Amino acid sequence: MSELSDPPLVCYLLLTSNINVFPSPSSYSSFLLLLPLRYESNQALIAEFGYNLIDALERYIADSDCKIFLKILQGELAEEVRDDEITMLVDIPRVMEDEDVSIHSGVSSGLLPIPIYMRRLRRLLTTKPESAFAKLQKALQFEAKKGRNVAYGELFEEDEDGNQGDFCELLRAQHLEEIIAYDKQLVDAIAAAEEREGGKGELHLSALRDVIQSTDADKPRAEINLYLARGCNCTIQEIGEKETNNEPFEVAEFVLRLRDGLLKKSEKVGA
Amino acid sequence: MIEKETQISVLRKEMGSMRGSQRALTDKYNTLQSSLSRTEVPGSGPGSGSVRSSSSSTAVPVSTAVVEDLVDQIEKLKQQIEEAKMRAKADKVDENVESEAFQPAGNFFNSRGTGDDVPEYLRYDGPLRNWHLSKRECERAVNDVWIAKEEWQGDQEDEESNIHLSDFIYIYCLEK
Repeated sequence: MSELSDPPLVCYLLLTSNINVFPSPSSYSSFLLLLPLRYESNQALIAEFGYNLIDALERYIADSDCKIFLKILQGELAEEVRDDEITMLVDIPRVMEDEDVSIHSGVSSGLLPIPIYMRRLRRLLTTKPESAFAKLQKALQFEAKKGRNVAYGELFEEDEDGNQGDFCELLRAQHLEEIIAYDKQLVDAIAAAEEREGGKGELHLSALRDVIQSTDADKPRAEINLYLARGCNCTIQEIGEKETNNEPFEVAEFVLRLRDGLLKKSEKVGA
Repeated sequence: MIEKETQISVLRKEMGSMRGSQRALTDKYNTLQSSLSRTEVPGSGPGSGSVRSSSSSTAVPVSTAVVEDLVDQIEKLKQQIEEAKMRAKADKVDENVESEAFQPAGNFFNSRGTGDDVPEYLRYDGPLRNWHLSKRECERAVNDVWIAKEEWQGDQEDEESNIHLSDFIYIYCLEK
């Protein structure tokens, strides 16, 4: 009976979705008994789940959860992008709570005036353009329902369908767009540098360092070293040696490995 | 003066009738020339046994037999094209009627086969039912996969626990 209290999701989807696998199973247990009759192998059921999941993800791609899942599933983005998004969604309410406590004499009220919320957000997300902040402010004003204060904790709460508010959805969409844009910018810059060097498919480590720095002037040397180590599949200590030896690296392999992790513009230091 | 005028009108009439007979003779000559060229054997001499374009005297001479041969070939080709069209149409109809895999669009997915280039969780031959998942069901599936992946990776102690999402979905479905 424990199986019934915790039904497998695939079976749940079969039961609840608009499909006619069987003519209306009278009970869940009879459904489970009949299940093998429809699917001659596990693979049929697995594939059916897979195709249906991808179809649904493509249909609901406007939702951040679906978009990020699909992009990671198809290998277009690294899973670290989702980790970074989660970190952002945890950090923002925490920072806002600290701000709330500091302006309300050490007591958390759960509310922050919109101008203060936006000022703190600007200090936190230093790479975001002003046009993006303007959109966020509008979403925030909408969430505040014409009030002056915003309940910062509620901004990130989900409803029963797993949907978040306009502000949170916009913030997540912007985060994803910014990462995709930087990924493209960096890959294009590496390709252009390789073309300038004669199009031999190789680049020296110093040239790769320059390219990464040129796409993000605020990126600290330590972070560039991390990117280079990931792309060259070596340790950070080895990067120094390889750079001194002026070793060339195959660009295609470097890019492939580089994109296997998070690529993101660095926040400005001391902002 | 009257006599001279009479002579002039007579001369004009004669000139007109002479022009008429000249035209008639030219036409007759052309007709005879063309009928003569048709009856002659092709290749018997330059200019003879060939058809000249009536509109231009500079056109390349073409043998009548060659023209007729070409016309025959064109007719045959036309016939072959028509037959091929009919055959293609018939094949298409038969394919739909006979193939068991023919399914109305929208209710089924055409699977990508079982090749190595297809992710393991999508490998299948044949049509698969479309469950028409709602957004809520999709989001629930997404969240469930993420939670299961974190749990699965937490249980693994070796370095291979860092598995790609595409590979994990297969494991997820097998375990479920």
